[in-house]
Amino acid sequence: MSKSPSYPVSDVELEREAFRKKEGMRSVLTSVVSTLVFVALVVITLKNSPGWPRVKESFFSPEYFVLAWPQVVEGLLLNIRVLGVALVGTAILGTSLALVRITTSAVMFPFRVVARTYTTIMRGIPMIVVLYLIGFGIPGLGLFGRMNKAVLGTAAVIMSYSAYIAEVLRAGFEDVHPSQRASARSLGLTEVQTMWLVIIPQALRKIAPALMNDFISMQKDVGLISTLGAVDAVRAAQIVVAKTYNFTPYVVASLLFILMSVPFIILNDWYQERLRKRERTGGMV
Amino acid sequence: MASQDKVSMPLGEKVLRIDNVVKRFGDNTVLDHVSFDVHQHETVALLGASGSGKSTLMKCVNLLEQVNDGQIWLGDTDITDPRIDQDKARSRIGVVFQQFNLFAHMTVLNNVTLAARKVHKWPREKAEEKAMRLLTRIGMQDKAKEYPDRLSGGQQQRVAIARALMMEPELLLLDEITSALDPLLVGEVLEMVGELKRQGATILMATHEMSFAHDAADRIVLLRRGHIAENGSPEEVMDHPTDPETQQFFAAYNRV
Repeated sequence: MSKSPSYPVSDVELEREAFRKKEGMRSVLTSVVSTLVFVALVVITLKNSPGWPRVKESFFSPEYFVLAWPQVVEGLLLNIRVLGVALVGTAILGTSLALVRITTSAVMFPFRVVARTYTTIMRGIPMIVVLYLIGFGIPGLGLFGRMNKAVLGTAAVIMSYSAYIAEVLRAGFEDVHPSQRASARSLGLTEVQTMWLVIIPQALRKIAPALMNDFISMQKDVGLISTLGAVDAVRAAQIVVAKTYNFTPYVVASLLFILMSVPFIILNDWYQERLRKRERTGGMV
Repeated sequence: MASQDKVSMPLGEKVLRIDNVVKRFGDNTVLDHVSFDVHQHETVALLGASGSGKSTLMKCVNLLEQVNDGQIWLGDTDITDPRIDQDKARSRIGVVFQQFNLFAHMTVLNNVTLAARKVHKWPREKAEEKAMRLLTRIGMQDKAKEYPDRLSGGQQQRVAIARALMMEPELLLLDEITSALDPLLVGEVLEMVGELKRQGATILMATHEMSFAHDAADRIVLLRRGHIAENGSPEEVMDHPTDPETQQFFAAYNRV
């Protein structure tokens, strides 16, 4: 909104500027007041509810917070490792499923059916059931001896999430205009080169927010591997809770999961902003 | 419609031979035994109402659609033969479509050099040097680092043509390249096509720009309901048509 002094400005424009400035000030003031009122209401309601002292003691106790912190952090390291592997695994499996689904050749027909059935079923089953099926079902077969719970949990996360990712990717691939594909093919690019150099980069750009959202959702869902008995952040918190009858460790775990997601949320915003800038303004790369 | 600055080049070899091509979509026969040739250095304009089969024919030549019968020869290669390397055949033909030609995630320079780098494995410097020469020729050198959506529609089409020319194709296919443009931008694109023709390019273009077809094309092929209705010089076909349906077709355009 900075005016360049070198341009002469008419009185009408000056008057409009002044009005906008006044309006702007007023809206800032309004939002400050409404925020203060809202916070005050929440605080008063909590303080006046009869059970607040006990809730405060069982969920937000500083002593238990400090007590649980090191163990929950250690558990979180497992979540981070699981997340890393699941991310790569989901990307590979999800992309493969999406690519299979957009093929048109007759040879691929059975694979298309399989991919379609897979995404339909996996998106319908609650995550926790997938975890049980893989986590208890596979070892139950007795084929592989004792299996690491975290490994099984990771496999379940990959299986579930790749079904979602595949559908997002497929929508993205199909959203790229057919002329782009035709142009690439007419330049002599092979099917694979067309996909890799032209379709996928443009599709990813369009679906980046959706993918990032799924990733952030996955970040918290890796906490579900605790149901199999793997000692991750949630399980570590649970252990402390069982010993102390205080729920603060869960809050510690939640806080850590939130902290873990914040960088990715910022990264996502930054990435999208950068793409917008690059494509809208062109420029000096 | 009287400008006669056409440079008559001697007709060279047949670059493209369309021989009894049939294309059906279900029971609908879109191309019914269509045959004509395009010679070296020749510009052939493919005209016809919507639904006459021009777009389908362009797609068949570019191998985006499979013919149901007949053959299409590019030089000595039958490109409808399923045993040939189709990607290689495609790279011998430069194609520009109506719209969405340029890859939005690549700069102008990367768009123009893509085929050279990825299909023909040129080193980047060599590809960029040649691309810059092409872009300079069309006055777009300053836009080399821009992304396509910073260019006007006319500029985008000119870059698309430059990209199609990069590997010096034997044949240039222009598929209604001005149909999606602001009328004010059509001129610059057509001017570029005229320039290419003067330099001896071999061009097959589907178009609705009747006066341009008249002035720039050496030959007019008029399609009607999947058949070739006319095949002759612009003077014969457009100025002195004898067939009543052809007369009607051009009369309708003249009224617009």
